[in-house]
Amino acid sequence: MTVSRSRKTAPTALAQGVILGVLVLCAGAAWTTGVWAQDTAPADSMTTAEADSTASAAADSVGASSSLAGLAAAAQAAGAAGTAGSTTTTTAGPFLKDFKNQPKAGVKASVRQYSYYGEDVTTLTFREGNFSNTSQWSWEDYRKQEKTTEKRSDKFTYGAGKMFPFILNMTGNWDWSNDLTTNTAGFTNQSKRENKNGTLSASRTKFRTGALINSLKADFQISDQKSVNQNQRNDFSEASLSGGYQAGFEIAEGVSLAGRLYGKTTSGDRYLGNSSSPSSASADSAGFGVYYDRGLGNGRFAVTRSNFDRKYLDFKKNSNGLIDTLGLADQDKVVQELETKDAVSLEFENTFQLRRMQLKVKLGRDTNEQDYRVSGIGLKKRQQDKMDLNWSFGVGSDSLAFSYKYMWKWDDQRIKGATAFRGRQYNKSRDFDMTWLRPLIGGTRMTFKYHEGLSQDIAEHVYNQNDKDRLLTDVSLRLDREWKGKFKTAMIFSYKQAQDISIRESRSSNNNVKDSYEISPSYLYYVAPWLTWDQSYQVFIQYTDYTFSELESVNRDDNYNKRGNLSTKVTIKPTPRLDIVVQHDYNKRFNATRVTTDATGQSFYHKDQNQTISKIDLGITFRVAKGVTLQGATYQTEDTKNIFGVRDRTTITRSGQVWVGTKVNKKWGRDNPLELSAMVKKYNAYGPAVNETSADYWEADVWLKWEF
Amino acid sequence: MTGSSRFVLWILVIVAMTAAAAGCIFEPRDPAPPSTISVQYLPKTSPSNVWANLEKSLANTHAFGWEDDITPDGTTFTYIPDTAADEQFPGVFASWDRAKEISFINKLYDSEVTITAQMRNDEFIPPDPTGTEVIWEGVVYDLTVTSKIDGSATRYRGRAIITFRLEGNFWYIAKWEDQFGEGNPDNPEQILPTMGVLRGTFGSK
Repeated sequence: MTVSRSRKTAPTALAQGVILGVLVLCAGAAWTTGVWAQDTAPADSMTTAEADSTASAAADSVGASSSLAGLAAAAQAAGAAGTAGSTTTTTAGPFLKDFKNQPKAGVKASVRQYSYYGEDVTTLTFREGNFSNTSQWSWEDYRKQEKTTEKRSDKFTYGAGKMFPFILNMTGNWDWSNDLTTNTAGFTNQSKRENKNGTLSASRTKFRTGALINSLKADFQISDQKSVNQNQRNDFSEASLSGGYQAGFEIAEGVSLAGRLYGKTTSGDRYLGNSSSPSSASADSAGFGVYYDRGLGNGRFAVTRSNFDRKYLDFKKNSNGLIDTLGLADQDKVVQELETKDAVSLEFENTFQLRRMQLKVKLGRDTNEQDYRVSGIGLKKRQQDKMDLNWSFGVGSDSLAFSYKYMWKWDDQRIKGATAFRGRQYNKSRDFDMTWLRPLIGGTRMTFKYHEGLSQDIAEHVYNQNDKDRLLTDVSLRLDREWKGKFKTAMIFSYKQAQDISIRESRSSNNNVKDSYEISPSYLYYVAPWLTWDQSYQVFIQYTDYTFSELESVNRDDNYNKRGNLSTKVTIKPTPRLDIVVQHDYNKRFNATRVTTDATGQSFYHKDQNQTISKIDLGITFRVAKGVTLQGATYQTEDTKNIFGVRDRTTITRSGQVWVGTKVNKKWGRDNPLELSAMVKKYNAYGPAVNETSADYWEADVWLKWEF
Repeated sequence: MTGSSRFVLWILVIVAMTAAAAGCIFEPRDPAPPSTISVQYLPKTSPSNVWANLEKSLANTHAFGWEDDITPDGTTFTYIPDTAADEQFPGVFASWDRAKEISFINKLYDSEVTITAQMRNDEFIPPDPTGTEVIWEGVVYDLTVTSKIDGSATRYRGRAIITFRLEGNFWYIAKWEDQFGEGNPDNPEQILPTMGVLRGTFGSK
């Protein structure tokens, strides 16, 4: 294979030299930091976000199945294509190929807040690589509370393109925010944060050495945060270095092996409240997988193991992980925490395909142990097993799909200071789904769905009283028919049952079974190209039976709720520029409670309440000219409620809203376009749920952008 | 018998077998008869009743009561934390939905705690429910979570905007937006955390 490389110009060589110098210096500093962190084993501080990023980094490499799969696929592709080395090409041309600026400024208004914002995006495209910088500013003033938020940020990215035989990227972020919130008692809390971070990453993917297909990646990151919230300082300054290696090779046609190693170390300082301390964290993981794609099936088996430990300052926490500093002196509120976690994950997946039949099996197990040196949480163990079976096939014009999902997981905890585990908290769930599609006569299609699901919560040794089961059954049949684009109908029959069962005697008094039935016919009639008529009717009834309602101690009455809803929607397009939509909803509801059941088992109900809601909507859209649209809408609702009791009572409430607005999208110029986007709406509303801020307000989003 | 008829017959056989198997695989456990007076939940025919049910659910650490008040499956439930909680648990609330809310309340109740709660301040006057959506602005809730293990107690007091939605015949909580932590009535200068911190703690486990 021929590799073409153009002669470098002086500025290019200089730029390469500078970047290489930065890379070497940063790598050296990072290595030093990592070694220092391990040698001196300093105490460590991390914010939750930092800790999470460490954890996710480890998890990343653990959950590397997809990445491993990609590498395995590459190994197979490389095997098929023969030798595939990495090539480096450089195109000729000026050093700076393009320079672009995109300033933008705007204002937003809504029922919740007013916002003012500005942004500038600068992009430089070099012969090799590119640079982009985004600066943003915003100010938000909340209408429903005394709260203002100001945010400033700057973000740059640099990619070196094909200048090196590896991919080199640099990013930098600066975020600043200041949030002032005053509570009802008049106390103002300031939440202020400034965060700076920079990342330098280098990677080379899918290059061959002998029979191996390899990928390498290294990252160096520095972070610095200063923040205060509720008068508590929370600062940190840290650097981290991470590296990963993946390799794969094809052992036989369509069968590959792949492995991966990953490591990360972090070190720095942290300040929390009035305390300060060095911080550190380390994480590593290893993964291995077998991937195959032969004959009728394909799949994979992967196993990964990961762990991390981190030292950081944290507030004292109780056995539930809640901050527990009540009555403590300031110096006792913050503790030096050491958190460790070990995790193992196993995954198997197989897909078997034969003509129109597909069988997919997925099995997985995840286990982990998480331990805290100081927190009252102590040691936590978790395990989760999952199985997904999916079987789908077609016969003639029918198609059918079955799925069965099983999940079984538990967690256990040895609370700090305890000598024994509390007992496992189990969660088990099973779900069966079936979907059957079948064309019937003419243009009629049938969709039948069935679902059965059981979820269970079980506390081992009854360490809590919340053992419970929930059984759900759904059956629905839908028929659709279409008459050559002129007329469409649909009919839905649906039955649902939900059983809520608390197992323990202290919780079982509310156990109940809810049965719901629904019939819903609808049609859509295209009367003319400018007129559409859409109508649907829905009848719904739900019975609630309390399992232990016959017991004297259970003061629950069985009941039913019934609803009928007629919805009519007319769409009119009298001219190509005008759309009118009129909609009416008529809703009738009844609630009733069972009074008695006779010897034949027939139940008698007392009607408690009936309610009628009538709502009419009108919406108009008029396209005045290209890019200019006028819009408006209004609705009126009347809600009549009759409550039957010792003394019958009737209440009638009315509510409504009207809004008018316009939308403008305009662009001037081709080479350096100036763009305006404006959406402005004025709202007025009335009704019992409407308050001062939502009775009269503007909704707007107006911005101006220029590109040069 | 035609191929199509045979296929339908097979479907019926499979459905019958599934229904039979469901009796074994999907068999819930037998509950113990209740020993205590039942938790008297109110019918969800008004937002006030729904909100009051939360208080009963908390006091009895009865998860069904909370789950039953959150918009049902297939509809959207949103939780928006206040700034302090959001900063304390970055990323946890990005896609908080019904499933996460249910997971949170179950983890809280399973953690051996007792809870005392007043979900509405006396000054708050709820608007009359009408139409299909009602918004409560500025309701102040106050709850104390006490661990049965170590006896530690944490108080949460926050101001929230709650959106109730009518689904079918019943009202549900569709959106819960915490605005800020309120002051401690016993020490007004101390700002107490909102339930966002409680959600963040149990939601990130």
